[in-house]
Amino acid sequence: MNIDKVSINPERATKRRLGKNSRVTLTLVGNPNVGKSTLFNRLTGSTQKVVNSPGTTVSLEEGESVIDNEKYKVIDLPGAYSLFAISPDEEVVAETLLGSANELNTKIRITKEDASTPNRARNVVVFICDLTSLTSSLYLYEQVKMLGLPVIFTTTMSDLAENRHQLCNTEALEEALGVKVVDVNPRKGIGIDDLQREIKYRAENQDLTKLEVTEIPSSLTELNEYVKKNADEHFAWVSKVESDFRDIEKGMELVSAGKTVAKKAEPKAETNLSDKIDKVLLHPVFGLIAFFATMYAILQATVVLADPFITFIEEDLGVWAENLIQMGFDAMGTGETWVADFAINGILNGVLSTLVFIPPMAIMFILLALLEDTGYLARTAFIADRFMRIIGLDGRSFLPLIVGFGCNLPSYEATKTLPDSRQRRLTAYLIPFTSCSARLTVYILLAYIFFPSYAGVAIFGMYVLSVVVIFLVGFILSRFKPFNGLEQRPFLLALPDYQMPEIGFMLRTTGTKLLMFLVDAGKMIVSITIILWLLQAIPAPGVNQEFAKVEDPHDSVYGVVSESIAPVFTPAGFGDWRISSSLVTGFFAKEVIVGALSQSYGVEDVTEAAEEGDSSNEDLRSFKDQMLDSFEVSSGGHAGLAGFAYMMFVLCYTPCMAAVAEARRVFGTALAIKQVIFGLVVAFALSTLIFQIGSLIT
Amino acid sequence: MQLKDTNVNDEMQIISLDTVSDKYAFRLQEMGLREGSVIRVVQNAVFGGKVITSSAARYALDGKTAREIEVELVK
Repeated sequence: MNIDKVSINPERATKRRLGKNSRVTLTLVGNPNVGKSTLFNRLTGSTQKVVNSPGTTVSLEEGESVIDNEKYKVIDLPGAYSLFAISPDEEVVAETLLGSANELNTKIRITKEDASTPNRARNVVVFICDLTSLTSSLYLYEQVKMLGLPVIFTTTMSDLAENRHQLCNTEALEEALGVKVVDVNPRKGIGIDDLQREIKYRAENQDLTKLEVTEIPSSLTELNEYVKKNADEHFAWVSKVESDFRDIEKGMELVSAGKTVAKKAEPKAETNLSDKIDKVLLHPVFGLIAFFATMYAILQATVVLADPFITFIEEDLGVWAENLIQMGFDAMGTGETWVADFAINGILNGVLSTLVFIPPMAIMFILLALLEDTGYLARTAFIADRFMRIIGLDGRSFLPLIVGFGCNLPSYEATKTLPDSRQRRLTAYLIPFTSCSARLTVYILLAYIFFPSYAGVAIFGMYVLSVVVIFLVGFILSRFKPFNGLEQRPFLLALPDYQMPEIGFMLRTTGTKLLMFLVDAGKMIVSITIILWLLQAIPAPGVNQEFAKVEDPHDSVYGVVSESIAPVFTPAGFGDWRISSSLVTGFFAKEVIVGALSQSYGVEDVTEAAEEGDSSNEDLRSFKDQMLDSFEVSSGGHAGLAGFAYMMFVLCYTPCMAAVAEARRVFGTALAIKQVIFGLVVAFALSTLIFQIGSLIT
Repeated sequence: MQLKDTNVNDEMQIISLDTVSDKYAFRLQEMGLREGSVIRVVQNAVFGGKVITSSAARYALDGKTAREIEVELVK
């Protein structure tokens, strides 16, 4: 990575920007897990969006904060321990700060040459120092300070530090550091007003004519050399500040009557409640049991608790809304027109397809926030590190993957807890291989048709295969750029104390995320549903039927598309238009694959009968016979094998459109598209392998 | 001795990080785990991992890294 790309011709760019009254940018900087993102949420509310750092795959959160009617741009940089970067995320932190420092120097030079230019710095760094991990926070601060940027020093976790009898008096720290310190508790919203006042003051009072150009490294390589060369000096500075802090705090307490000081005399962690809890939750045996029990409970909660709400949306709300819309069109005398059909089967269907994901996502977001807020999430990273490391991930990736078995959608947001962008992206590639509950209906039906004697084993086998595919694909991907080398890094994580969750803040944050999903992903889901409706509404060339009145999907453009791609699946043994059509429909929602197949084979929807294993159902029997016949033909007499290959394809191919929309919201368009293509390639490769090798053996 | 061989409540000084790769050894030093630093084991965890305290901070370390850190008991 080269800093040049963010500082190309900085003088000209800066002059141009100085001419406009550009907004002040607040850049949040700090170690991982210091409450930076919580502070970002407090400052920006629902104005957040994900942007990719230019030229990298690292995504940043960007938002807007309004202080006294003035808008500020807020950037939440990834957590970093040092400007000596050892991950792409830390490179982005170092590069951004170095770019800002370059820009500031340019502004200072311009201002000194021409006093008529506006003289306000447009970048302010908000540095967040965790008082419970003072040493590593101060070490990073010393490096940031060296760049000469305006920095607001904020502290977090002062309540936890006090509970631990550690240094926590921010007035004493202010004196030791020689800069103003603003103490905040973003979880509870305490100190935010003070911080906003300080931001406003600093943004309005950066007189560039009084600042001097700072000597800074000119590239990341030079910055790395600088950090390494001056490390001893920085360590010594940190020790001195800590020592001064201790002395000043001790002095202040001596003055203050009735307080003991002996307990804070040494920077030593005493055994506290968190340690006692960790004796169980990090225990070599009980810790693992607690971990798997927690993961299982979360998976169950997202499936079981969400189910009644999903049923309500699909059945009650869906029917009410449909009736209401139909009545409206009937009243206008247009109830039988394509417009009514478009409103119900196009737009309403898209809206409902978005809404059904709200319950599992809401439950997952709340549980995730609960784990993070209480401090257990950091422990899960540690506990599951050993087995996730095989595929270059840390234990925190276990949660999004396990949740994916319920529903893939909430998993993408859950990857944000991972500290390294490579881990987040690798997990995103693996999520579609987790067999979500919507795929179960397809397995049940296909197992009933192709493997009636051992259907249960076949269904269970699909879940085992799902895990195997995740580890196999993860193992292979982690050996190639950009994911290689992740498995070699040491695991060293600062453990936060356990805390009581802030329920109100958790619910607000969850509400914000759901709103962002509804707005961003919802637009895409509705758009794709409308496209599907259009494809099914337009009659195929040569078919003499009206627009939106096509009874058999095979007679629509949708049928033409399905038929034209069917030969692609011939090597996998299921090159039949009805099967390819079900796969196209499955992209919209996996649970409608069975419905689409039923429609193609001209029987009533057999989803319910298949789920109940009702072998006396006439439609199901007819469906089974027809499907076996078509698989016999398409596979050249290896129907069972082709059925298995088809099940494998359903397991691995692209996630549903809602999941793609959510992946796009969280990771951007490029990854969403790559993920779809990657899934299709893996699905095609595996199903073809199964069919071809199986055909040779049987 | 290696950090992995220590017990809960053992207090020790870090003697060497030589077997940790250069890139990561510097990171351990930056986080306060430097030669000469005094650390204490708070908890033995799964797969040979350790929870340690350094100054006032608590860190979780994986089993492999615990095998690579040379320490000497001070108490």
